[in-house]
Amino acid sequence: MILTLAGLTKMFSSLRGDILAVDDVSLVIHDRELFVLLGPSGCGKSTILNLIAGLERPTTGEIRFDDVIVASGRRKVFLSPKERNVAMVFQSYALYPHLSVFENIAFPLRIGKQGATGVEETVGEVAAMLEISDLLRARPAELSGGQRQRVAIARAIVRHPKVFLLDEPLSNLDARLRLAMRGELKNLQRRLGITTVYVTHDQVEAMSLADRIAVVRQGRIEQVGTPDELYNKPANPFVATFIGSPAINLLETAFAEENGVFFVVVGDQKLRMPDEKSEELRRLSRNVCLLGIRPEHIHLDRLDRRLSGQRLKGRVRAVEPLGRETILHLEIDDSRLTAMTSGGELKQGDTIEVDLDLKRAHIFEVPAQGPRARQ
Amino acid sequence: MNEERMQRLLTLATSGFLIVFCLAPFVFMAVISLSGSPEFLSGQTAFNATFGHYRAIITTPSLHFIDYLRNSLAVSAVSAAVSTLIAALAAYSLTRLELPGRVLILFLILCVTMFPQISLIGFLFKLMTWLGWINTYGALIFPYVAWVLPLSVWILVSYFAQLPRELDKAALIDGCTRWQILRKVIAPVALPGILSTALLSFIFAFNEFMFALLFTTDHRARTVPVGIALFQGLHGEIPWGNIMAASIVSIVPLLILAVAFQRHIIQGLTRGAVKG
Repeated sequence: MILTLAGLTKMFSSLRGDILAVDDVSLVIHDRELFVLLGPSGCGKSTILNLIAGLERPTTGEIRFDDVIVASGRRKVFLSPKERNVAMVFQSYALYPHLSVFENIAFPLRIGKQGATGVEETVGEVAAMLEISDLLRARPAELSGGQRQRVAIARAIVRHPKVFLLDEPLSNLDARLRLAMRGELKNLQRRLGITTVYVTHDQVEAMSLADRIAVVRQGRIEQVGTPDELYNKPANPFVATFIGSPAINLLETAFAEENGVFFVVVGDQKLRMPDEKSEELRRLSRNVCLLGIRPEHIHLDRLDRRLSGQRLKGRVRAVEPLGRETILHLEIDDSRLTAMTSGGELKQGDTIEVDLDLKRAHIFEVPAQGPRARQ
Repeated sequence: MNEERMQRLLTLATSGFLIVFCLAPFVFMAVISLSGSPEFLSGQTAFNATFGHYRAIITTPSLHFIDYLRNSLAVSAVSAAVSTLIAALAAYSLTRLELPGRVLILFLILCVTMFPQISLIGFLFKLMTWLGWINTYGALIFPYVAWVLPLSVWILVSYFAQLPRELDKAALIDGCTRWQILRKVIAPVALPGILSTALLSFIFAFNEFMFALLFTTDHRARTVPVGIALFQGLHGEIPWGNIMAASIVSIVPLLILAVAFQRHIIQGLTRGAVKG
């Protein structure tokens, strides 16, 4: 099923004034796609999900399931969640505490008035799929977090919804379980082939699960793309910083053109930009840019031998060994950078030579009020 | 003596005092109800136990005690059921629906409780007379429901407000109507709160005296508290034995209810105590 959001806006009125939670969001989510809404908390991603579910009415704009308009601010169309046939998994799982696991899973079927024999069979199938067949008689209070999660998912998929909505479903689980459930969720979504919208604030979760991701900030969509596109071609500094860990380095640098060759100034030192970046730099309105360099694209002498010959003098401020790799906090004159290397031979206070892989650098316009993306 | 023992001793002493303090009147009641001689109060005669008073109040038709008890139970049960039902509906809409002026409504409900009972009684008497309801169950149920509603609504609002909103959302997604959400999800989950609210309403109606005194005239609608108060002996003397026996008997229904719902009530009351 194709899910279309067109010019969607949601305004909340409170005593303290109106809050624009969703601001002119337009999206097309493809059939059978696992689509992730990614953004910091309070950015409006859950509101978008509630709008799709039919738990909130849009102020303006339209939502279509295939060709059917399910909600429209202008035409006063609004279908209930039941009429839309959506299923949702909540962060708190929202299991019915007074019902057994079996009755929890069977609840949507019973409300939908399905025959008693059908219910038993369907619940059995779904429970087997999620490996909770032995828990059917337990109450939610007796289950662990991971088991509750499975029950919530079982309840959601039991009546074959058209759209599957997940609101931070894994954030209440511990780290190991989250990893396991992530893989399982992805497999399940593939197997069922249900168009899925998944909300999370965790960029790793988003990257590993999604077919495509929309990055949301302050109710607006900053960029839509595959995980690969978002990582390698971020549209703006916000997306660049939000995706990737450790976060990308953003340096506000002056640049100048001399005989068709561009130079940037990092710290007190001048670096030649590769020719293929000239076009991008020429397009900027001022002679200042935000230079985005991912930590893995910073090479260090003695550790890496792939230096391009343009070296910067720097000092190691702090070392964070993570085992497989080491995160280094560097200082080049008065600029601070984060780098990632595979070795662990450097110590705090070492003086080193740094090589920035400028071919892979991202160039952004400096926002009017200065770079605010680093949070 | 170490601190721990001291603490335990003090706890025992205090709770012992409280129990004696609260239960002494009941013991007094029980003793007199079992005493054969009305002069027992003067302390001159010896105590001789008898079930005579109990037999008297139950078997003497002219005392109408059984009628009073039946009236009390019916009026209290209906009042509790109706007021709790209305309160639950009100609490659901006040906590779950987007009502304009929610806070104002709650405030007004609270204001209603500030009228003293006596200030309304003249008007209510005229109303009941006009309706022709004097000496019927309706004359009591109607004001009782109105009287306990504010408190019931407040208790249930604070109870419902604690239930996670995601439960409602999940039920909506699962295809429930608003009515089904209340009936199949919220009401069962909030059962302790609903039961303790119902019990409080029941106790209020069961104990109420003033309305019952004024709006009832004889055994067809008169409730236990008024009935007992108006017990009279043959020659105008006060029949203490019968009064105490009737009081003891009328405790029994409340005792049974309290014991039956004990677990729920404690949970409900303490939960209410934590918030609101």
